[in-house]
Amino acid sequence: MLPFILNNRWVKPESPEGTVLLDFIRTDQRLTGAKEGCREGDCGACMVLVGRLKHGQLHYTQNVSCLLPIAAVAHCHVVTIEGLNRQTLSPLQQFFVDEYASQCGFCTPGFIISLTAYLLNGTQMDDEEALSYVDGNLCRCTGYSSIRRALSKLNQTYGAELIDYSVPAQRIRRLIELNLLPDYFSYMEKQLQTPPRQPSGQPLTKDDGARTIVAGGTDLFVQQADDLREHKLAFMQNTRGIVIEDNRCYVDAAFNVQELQNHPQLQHHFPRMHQWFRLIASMPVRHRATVGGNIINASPIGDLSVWLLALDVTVVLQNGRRTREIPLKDFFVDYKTLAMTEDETVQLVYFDLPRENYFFHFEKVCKRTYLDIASVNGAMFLRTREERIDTIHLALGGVAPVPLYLKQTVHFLQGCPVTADTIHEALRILESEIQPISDVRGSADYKRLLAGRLLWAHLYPYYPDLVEKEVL
Amino acid sequence: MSPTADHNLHVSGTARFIDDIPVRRDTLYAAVLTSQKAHARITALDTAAAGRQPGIVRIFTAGDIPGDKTIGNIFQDEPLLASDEVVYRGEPLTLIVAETMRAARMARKFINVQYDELPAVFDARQAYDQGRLIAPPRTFVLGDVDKAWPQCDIIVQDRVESGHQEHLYLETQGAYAYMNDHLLKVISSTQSPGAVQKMIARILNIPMHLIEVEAPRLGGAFGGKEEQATNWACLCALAAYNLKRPVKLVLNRREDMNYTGKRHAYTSDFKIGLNRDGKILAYEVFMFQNAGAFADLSTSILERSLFHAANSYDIPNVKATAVSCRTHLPPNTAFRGFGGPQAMFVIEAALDKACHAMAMDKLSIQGKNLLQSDSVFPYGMGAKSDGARRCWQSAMDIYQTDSRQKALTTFNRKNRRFKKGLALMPICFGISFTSKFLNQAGALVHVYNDGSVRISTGAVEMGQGVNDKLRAVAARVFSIDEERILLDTTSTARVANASPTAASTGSDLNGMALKTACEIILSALKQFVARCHDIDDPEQIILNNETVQVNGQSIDLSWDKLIQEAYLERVDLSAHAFYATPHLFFDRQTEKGQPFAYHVYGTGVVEVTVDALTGTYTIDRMGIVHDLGKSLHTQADLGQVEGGVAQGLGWMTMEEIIYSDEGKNCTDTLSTYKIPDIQFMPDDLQVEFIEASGRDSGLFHSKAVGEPPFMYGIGVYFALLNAIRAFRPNAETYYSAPLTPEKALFMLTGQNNKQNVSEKKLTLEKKKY
Ligand SMILES: Cc1cc2nc3c(=O)[nH]c(=O)nc-3n(C[C@H](O)[C@H](O)[C@H](O)COP(=O)(O)OP(=O)(O)OC[C@H]3O[C@@H](n4cnc5c(N)ncnc54)[C@H](O)[C@@H]3O)c2cc1C
Ligand code: FES
Ligand code: FES
Repeated sequence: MLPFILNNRWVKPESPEGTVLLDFIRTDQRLTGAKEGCREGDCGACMVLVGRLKHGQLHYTQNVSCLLPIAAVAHCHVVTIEGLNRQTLSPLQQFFVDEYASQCGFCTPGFIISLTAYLLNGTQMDDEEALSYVDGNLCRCTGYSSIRRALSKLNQTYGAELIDYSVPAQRIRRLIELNLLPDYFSYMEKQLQTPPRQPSGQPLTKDDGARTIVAGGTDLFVQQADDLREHKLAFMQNTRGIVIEDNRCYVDAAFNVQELQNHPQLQHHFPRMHQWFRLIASMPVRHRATVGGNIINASPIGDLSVWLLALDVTVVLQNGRRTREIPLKDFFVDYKTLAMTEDETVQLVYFDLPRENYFFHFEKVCKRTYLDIASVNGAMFLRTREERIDTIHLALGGVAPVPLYLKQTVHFLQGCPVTADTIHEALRILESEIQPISDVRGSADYKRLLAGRLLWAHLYPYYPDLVEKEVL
Repeated sequence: MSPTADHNLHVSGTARFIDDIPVRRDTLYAAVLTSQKAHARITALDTAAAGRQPGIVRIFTAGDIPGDKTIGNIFQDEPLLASDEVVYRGEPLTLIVAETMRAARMARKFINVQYDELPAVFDARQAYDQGRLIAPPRTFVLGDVDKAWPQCDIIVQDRVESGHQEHLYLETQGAYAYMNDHLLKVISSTQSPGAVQKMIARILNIPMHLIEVEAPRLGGAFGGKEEQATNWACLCALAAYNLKRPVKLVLNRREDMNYTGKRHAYTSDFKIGLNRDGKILAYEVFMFQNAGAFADLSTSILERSLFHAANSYDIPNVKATAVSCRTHLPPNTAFRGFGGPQAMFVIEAALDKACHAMAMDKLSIQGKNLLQSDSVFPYGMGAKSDGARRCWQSAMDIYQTDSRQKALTTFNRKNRRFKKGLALMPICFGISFTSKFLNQAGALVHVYNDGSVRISTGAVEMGQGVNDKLRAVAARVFSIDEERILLDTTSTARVANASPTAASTGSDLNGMALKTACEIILSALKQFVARCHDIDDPEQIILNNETVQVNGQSIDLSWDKLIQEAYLERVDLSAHAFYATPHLFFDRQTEKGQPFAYHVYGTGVVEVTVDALTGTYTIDRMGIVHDLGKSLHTQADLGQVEGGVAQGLGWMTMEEIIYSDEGKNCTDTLSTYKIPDIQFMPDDLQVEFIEASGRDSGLFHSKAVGEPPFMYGIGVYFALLNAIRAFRPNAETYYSAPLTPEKALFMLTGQNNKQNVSEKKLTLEKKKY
């Protein structure tokens, strides 16, 4: 196994590469500050910071260590709560103590880690942004009010001044001066640059058949962490990032959801994107979860899949040197069945960036607004010309064995004016296209009802009068 | 905050929970194989193949238990390991002990269990019809409802349901056990070390003095580790005692959610009658409690449902009946509120229904019917306090509910898609264990000769802040700095026969015992000072801020010096003391008595916004006026209120346990069972403490705080209904908690009725997405 820095020293794990980091730090390293609360990325008790070199600069993100294979942190700097401790409490820790923001204390190390990620990366430095960094941390005791008070205090004390430090290394230096990070953070960037850089994990090679392909691992390690421990893993590398050429946007399959959310050009085209993406998983999971993983996962309620269907993306598949393309709407064949062979991997998705007169809208309905899986989700792309629908794409999740592109509804709506009659007729067609089932996320009747309501919800921002008149 | 407080350990990740304790090198790991059927005869249980798997040390079945085969504190009816018959899915069958946790878990699939399936019942009413009861029904009566009905101007009746709730303590159940010479030491994440010790003694058939049970700290409990930590500690002890090697047993989340009981689901029928002026004349309720397969604490919980059947209302004629029904689900257990919330939800629903039918404002009806000083509870105890009314009035004033109500009406008139609703929730909760014998506690205090103090009580710290409160008590009695005081873990070796830390009584009972113990030492110190300084009356001596004063004058004697000198003069600097709550009695024949030391009152205000298009909603604002007496520790108390509210809100909105037709918990992960997250909680949540009734309260006139705030959460159900009605005045609303966005959307659209919602045909699909 390749080495990584754990807090302030290099470690070279002997465990199989599929061992999750949480087990390695708790059992092998006897660092028990990170807790096991769920082992499926949903509680945040196991949170760690992972620092990676990107273009020579060290960037830290908070990750759930229960879904992170140790091979994925090769040549990274992993920080557990122990790695933040000094002789005395840091101001962040002290605010938690002062505000009584821990009760049983089981969740607390996770919160401290996530808020350290916030201190390292926050750009607005206000309470709303701080909250978004702890969206993957659950606490059953406090009801969160005291935690909110602690983070408000943090912002009041340090927020304004930290905004000025936007270069990571400078921010780190300032945080050390403010006693918010231990000194050793100052030489981690150098430390990581010193050993010969090797790609983390095993790069894809010809005998990949024998390996399990891991992108972010946020699906794989929930489903089959036990089996994967002994497996050989092959990591998808994000080599291309996002490229925009001739108004076409190419996204590397291994691009992660958080980076997608933060991408300035995409935000320009989809101004509410930031808000919508906050509905997907949690920040620590988004840092790992990839576009390709979401598609291959083929979950009937995959949020990104639904999003991408409404953008009518094309998937680029690769097998050795051969590549081929397929529209995403033809890619999902049946429950967890995809129009690809075992030897193929997803390399890219691409779509044409929309021009004027278009609307894009995403809706996700679940029991809990954040960090929950949808009962039904949906996205709509709509472009009008002279009061008529010029282009429309509609996708729905949770109503079929696959993320569903509503082919017939779309076909019907093409060229229609946006009127009550056409929408009612479209809904009748939509009804015939879906086959929801009852499960823990809702009854079939509910999902059927929601499917229709989401179409109205998509239209609401643009045709409020129409929607109010018809259904409200 | 004292540097010895737990919080410093929490924030640095150095607070050790069971799974964090460094284990001895020869430690073994245990996993449990449980029943895959809800009800079946076991026709074969073959562990031979599993025993041959690498790393397996021993597999225990029921036959390997040397003593009693069953556990349980009220009724000892629950097999530690099932042998002939299983009565719920998740019931332990065998204990697998291996060199690694992984090996122990993996070996499960090699155990061959053959079942002969039997019919199973999951519904409380159905169980009742079949006569499957834990105990006969009980009825509390005040006045005569039958005589009152004819005088009522309006009578409404309906059914009310509330679902199971998972505790979701963040630390799962677990224990670590090892032999120390003769002694079997068990470290357990339990609220009741005393009960765990007793059960281990019974199953191993050894005396209690050979067993020490210690609870270091709990990563949350909420009632879930009062009775149900015992199984795992017993199993762990069984293995360690037998194999003479340390054994650790920690459940993972999915195991925990499948094997352990929840808050009891209730289904109830009510009938309520009011006169034209809105005075409640009569209230009748029949509550069916879904107990699960074994008694656990169900009968006590049921009793509390009866105590709180009328919540904060003065109703002259009440007939409340409740029955604990035996089903084929994991035995349900204590959970914050202990049956109180389920009963209070019913009376609030009854009032909602009546007010809606009479087209009267619910706030005025609630306000009009609140308890007063001369009110009598259906169980015969007098209220002797106007706390209910004082809290209610303060809430109306502080949160300006009248003007908020108007603002909401205006908002609703202007907006078509989004509708707002408001509701008030008064609470009244009795403090004491309703089993009289449990109202006892002991405390042990050592003052070391350098002036530092170490305290042991029977109270278990699980996040509720009991240690901070106890520290405050000792600091107050000795008038010393809190930094001098260390709170010990809870151990049966230091305090024997301790009651569980539960029923919100932890600080009251243990604090009283501690106060007495400190006073014993204080009195010895005063007599010592009196002797040395020729003072006739030791009561002229006080300790003030670490110095000794005589008649208000400081003499040159600091705490440090005092202790040193007292030690040299052979004064006993240790004390043990005991406390038993006085004046409690309850007659279960007449169902009358004085079961509580006092009551806690309060009122919660909640405001919500519903999206009429999608049925989703947000909680915008909450205000709470809570009767705390004189707080021992304001931050700890505030934390209890805020945390309790969050759980109550979760119970009413998103927390939904769904059992399949085969009795399988389909919501056994955090991805399918949702609890409030930070963004769900309202940005604006204000808590005001008042001293609504100081006279009859507890320790230093403080009041217990653990459970009551949970019930403020109930208000959200009715705020949501009000918002839904603002959109659709004739909406077919019903009372079936949690009010998920699914139910909200059905009510908003009128497209479905409750039958279709509760019909749950579930595909048992393993995969998440
Ligand atoms: C707590 C939590 C919350 C979540 N919430 C949401 C949510 O709200 N919405 C949502 O949509 N999803 C959610 N997910 C699911 C998951 O995070 C996403 O589906 C994610 O996009 C998966 O990406 P990944 O890179 O982690 O996939 P991985 O787990 O790495 O891979 C998934 C599958 O795809 C294969 N694979 C990955 N990349 C490729 C490729 N390029 N070519 C071929 N095969 C590939 C893998 O072999 C594997 O079979 C959640 C997960 C967790 C743990
Ligand atoms: S253990 Fe819950 S997120 Fe990792
Ligand atoms: S303090 Fe107990 S879970 Fe957060």
